[in-house]
Amino acid sequence: MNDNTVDIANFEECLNALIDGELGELEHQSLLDAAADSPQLGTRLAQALKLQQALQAIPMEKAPAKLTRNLRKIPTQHRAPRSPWLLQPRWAIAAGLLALLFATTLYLPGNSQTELEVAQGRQDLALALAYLDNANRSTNSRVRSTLNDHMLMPVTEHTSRALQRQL
Amino acid sequence: MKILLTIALAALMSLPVAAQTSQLESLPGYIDFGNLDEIYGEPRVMVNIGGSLLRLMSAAAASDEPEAAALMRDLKGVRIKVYPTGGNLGPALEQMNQARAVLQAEQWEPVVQVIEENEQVQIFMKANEDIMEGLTVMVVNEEEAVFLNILGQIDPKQIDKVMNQLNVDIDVDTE
Repeated sequence: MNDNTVDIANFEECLNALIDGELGELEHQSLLDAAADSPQLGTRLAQALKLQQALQAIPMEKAPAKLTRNLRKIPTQHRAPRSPWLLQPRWAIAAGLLALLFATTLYLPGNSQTELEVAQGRQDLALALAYLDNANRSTNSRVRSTLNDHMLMPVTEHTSRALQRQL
Repeated sequence: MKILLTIALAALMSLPVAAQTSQLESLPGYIDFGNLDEIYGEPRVMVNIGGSLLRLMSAAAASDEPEAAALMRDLKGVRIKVYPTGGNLGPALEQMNQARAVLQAEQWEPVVQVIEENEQVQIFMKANEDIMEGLTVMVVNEEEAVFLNILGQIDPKQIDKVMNQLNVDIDVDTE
């Protein structure tokens, strides 16, 4: 993905890249911006994140023992001429597994980190709003009481003077 | 190899935090409250939420909590520091006065000012052509000193609803 901006046209493509862990930092930022600007896109992003979590929760099932045995027999039944050690399948598999392990190590903590950050962010925001609300209530009540202290007397005096004039 | 992986992961994870801090400092509604750690110790509460995290939170809340999502979408940053004063109001009041001088010099408008024997409250707002850029709340009393800086737009009427939606049990009532 070369274009860093996200619009409705390539939003779906970006969501797929996000789920596959192939989204760059700038594209990720653009995706968030687009989702923040449009409730519709925000909903789709939330759904994609849920799908991503659901996919991660699916347990890996072991292959049947018979299939494993049969697969293991194949190299002995069809022995190919030996290639240089680096190009042998076991090294290729090992290298692939190592790359997968590295990618998983980078990818999984990133997601759980994001979830933790969002949860912590919600708690922090609620705390900040609670302090703001507290200050707001405190000053409101003071302003009201101050106004009452100053206003009650003039109103009373003004009213009594007006009544006296009428009498 | 393990050490290299750890360093790479740590570097990757620390990048967004550093980016958020510098992102907040460059915004027009940002105010430096200084540091009272040497006098009061570590803050009782310290929160720094940047725009990226707020956008992520907004996107995550868009479907189930639309009002909370809208509030988060309009915010660019939230910072709060709360120190326990333990009756020692002097340093916190001095810090508040310094911050107030900076706010006034930067054309912030005083919204509310309460000066009483045992408590002082200062609320300032910064707007640019009817668009709110920041809100600063400073409260110093016998129990604590609160320095709150909200960057972006916030509608106080939304706070109650959003707090209910966030569903976090918080009690900060010190009265």
